[in-house]
Amino acid sequence: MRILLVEDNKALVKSLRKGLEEESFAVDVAFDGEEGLYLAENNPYDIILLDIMLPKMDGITVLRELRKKKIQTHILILTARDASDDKVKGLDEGADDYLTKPFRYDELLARIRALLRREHKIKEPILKIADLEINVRTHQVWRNKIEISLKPKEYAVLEYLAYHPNEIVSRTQLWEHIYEWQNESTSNVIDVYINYLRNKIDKDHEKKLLYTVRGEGYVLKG
Amino acid sequence: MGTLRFKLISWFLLVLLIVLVVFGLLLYLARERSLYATLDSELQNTALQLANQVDIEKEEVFLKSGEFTFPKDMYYEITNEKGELISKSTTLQEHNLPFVSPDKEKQNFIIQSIPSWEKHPLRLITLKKIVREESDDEDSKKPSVALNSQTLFIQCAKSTWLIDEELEELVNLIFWVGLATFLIAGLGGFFLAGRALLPIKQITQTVQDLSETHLSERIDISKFDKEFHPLATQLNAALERLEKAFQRERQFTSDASHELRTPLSVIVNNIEVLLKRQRSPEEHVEIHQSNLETSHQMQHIIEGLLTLTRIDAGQISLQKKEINLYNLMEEVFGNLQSKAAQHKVSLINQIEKNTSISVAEDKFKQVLINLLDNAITYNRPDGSVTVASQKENSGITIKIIDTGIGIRQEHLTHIFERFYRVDPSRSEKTGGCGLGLSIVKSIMELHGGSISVTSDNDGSIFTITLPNN
Repeated sequence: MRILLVEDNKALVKSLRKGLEEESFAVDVAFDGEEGLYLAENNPYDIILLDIMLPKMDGITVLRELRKKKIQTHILILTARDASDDKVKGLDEGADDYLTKPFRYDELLARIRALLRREHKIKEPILKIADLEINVRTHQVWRNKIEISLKPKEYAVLEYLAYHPNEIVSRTQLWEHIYEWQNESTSNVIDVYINYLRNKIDKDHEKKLLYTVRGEGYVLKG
Repeated sequence: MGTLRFKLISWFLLVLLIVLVVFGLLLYLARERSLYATLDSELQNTALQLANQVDIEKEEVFLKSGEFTFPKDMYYEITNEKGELISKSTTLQEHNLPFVSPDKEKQNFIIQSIPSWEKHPLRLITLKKIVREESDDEDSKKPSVALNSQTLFIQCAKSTWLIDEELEELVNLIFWVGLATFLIAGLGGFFLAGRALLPIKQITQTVQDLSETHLSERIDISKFDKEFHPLATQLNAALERLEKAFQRERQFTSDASHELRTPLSVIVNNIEVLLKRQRSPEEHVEIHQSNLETSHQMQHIIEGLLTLTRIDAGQISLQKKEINLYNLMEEVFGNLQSKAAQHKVSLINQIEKNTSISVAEDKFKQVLINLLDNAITYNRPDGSVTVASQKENSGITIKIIDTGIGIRQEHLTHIFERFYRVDPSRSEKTGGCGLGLSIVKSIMELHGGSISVTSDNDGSIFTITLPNN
């Protein structure tokens, strides 16, 4: 899952980015509103974390511009003002959720997961495809009740596929959602992770879950 | 009962009462006078007619019988000088009229009231008449010779009970009409006063309805009569000022909370992320380092806020003393030397060596450090900061001139505002919290001085003035 963080405080950015990357998120950062708007318009983010008080263009304007351009990405507002006006304004302009600084990091993660579930119309906190189970909170994965240990990027690929079960996901799409903007690797690297994943989740099982659709991409189906 | 309405009505009724009493009195007196004048002229006429009837013959005074008939509601009595009764009306029966003699020689008659004669109030005229016996000479052209003369007192009287009764009725009428007028006017006045005071009630209601959050409400002046316009306008102006003050206060609180929440969230987030996993010693050091820096930043903001709050609350008393400005500037230069070297900015002290000023040293030093720090931070490499002073009649002017990037015109009026930042993203680089210049301004105002700024592309000039003691 790929997140855009629009925040001008460098120390907070550093801290959040570190934390989110450890949770297998790909994180892009914009330090002002204009940059944030540009990145959000040109990349397929899963979540946008948007500060309100930003240089060059304030968060509310960014929000309004994005919604005007029909960009439907879930947006979570991070505001240092607890004035309810800001929250109301933000939500009414099309934000999906908000958090007031200082927020608990765990709460931020929980809200991000909630937004992802909402995005994919899922209610259960554990993703299930046949006997494959993924706990998106702890990043634990089981196949037939046996826990499988995955590397962060492998997990990221699996999680993305699991959020789109029975859907053909292209290599580019996967690459765009697990890597941040300026990453120099190419979408070929996805094939490598798919191979690793196949070895870990399908190899010892009769029923295969991960399929390659030639010329189109991959699909996880139960 | 200390209400304006009560006072208004009290005054109104008091005036009304006075008017009614005076009016009643005048009416009474006028009526009385007119009644008595009529009576008196009637009495006088009757007395004169009676006098004409009196004749004397052979020293015998008698009444000529003639056409004159004496009114039945009157009394008369004719006496001579000696007080002997000559004639009296039958209406008197066995009574006599009280005798009053016109005192003065010239006075022919006297009219007076006898309040109680035979249980009656009486109006009495006493006419003095001298009757002369004339010769029987038929030739009237001959001067008549007085043969015999007698002074007679002709008295006519009439009971005044009719007049008294009428006056009494008049008094009654005046009393009841007056009372009714008084009551009706009082009641009307009560309602009128209430009606006149209604706008005050409405204005009060409007002001009452205002709460801190609804300060934007105003009194609708058009709803009120002209007399209330100044009051409503003034109240509106006061509300305007109040609203602005509240807005500033809210803005300040909100800004302050924003400035503190962001670094606080850095610290909280750092710690939460740190605790998520096993960390290497290097990671620990890095995060502690970050938290320490952020804590210093917060400390800086809190100290700034505290300084401003103390100045606002008037809790700071200045311990002014005479100090040498040149030496103080050298000291400040010393403090900032390393930063200036880092930015490749040269510091130039052009202050006269014997310039002395009277200031609170630590506070004023903070002013200079803040201004010079800015002048260095926003300078160009190889630029300079020049400090010069000039004595004037009213005090001393100190200029801090930099060769920096300048401040855009639209920011100039705002830079002394709390938490105002020319470029919010700049704070990261410069470590400022947006309070420095407002603290400078507050300290200068505390000294009775001022600060102003001019700026263009070649740099900015901050001018501070200090008054003479």
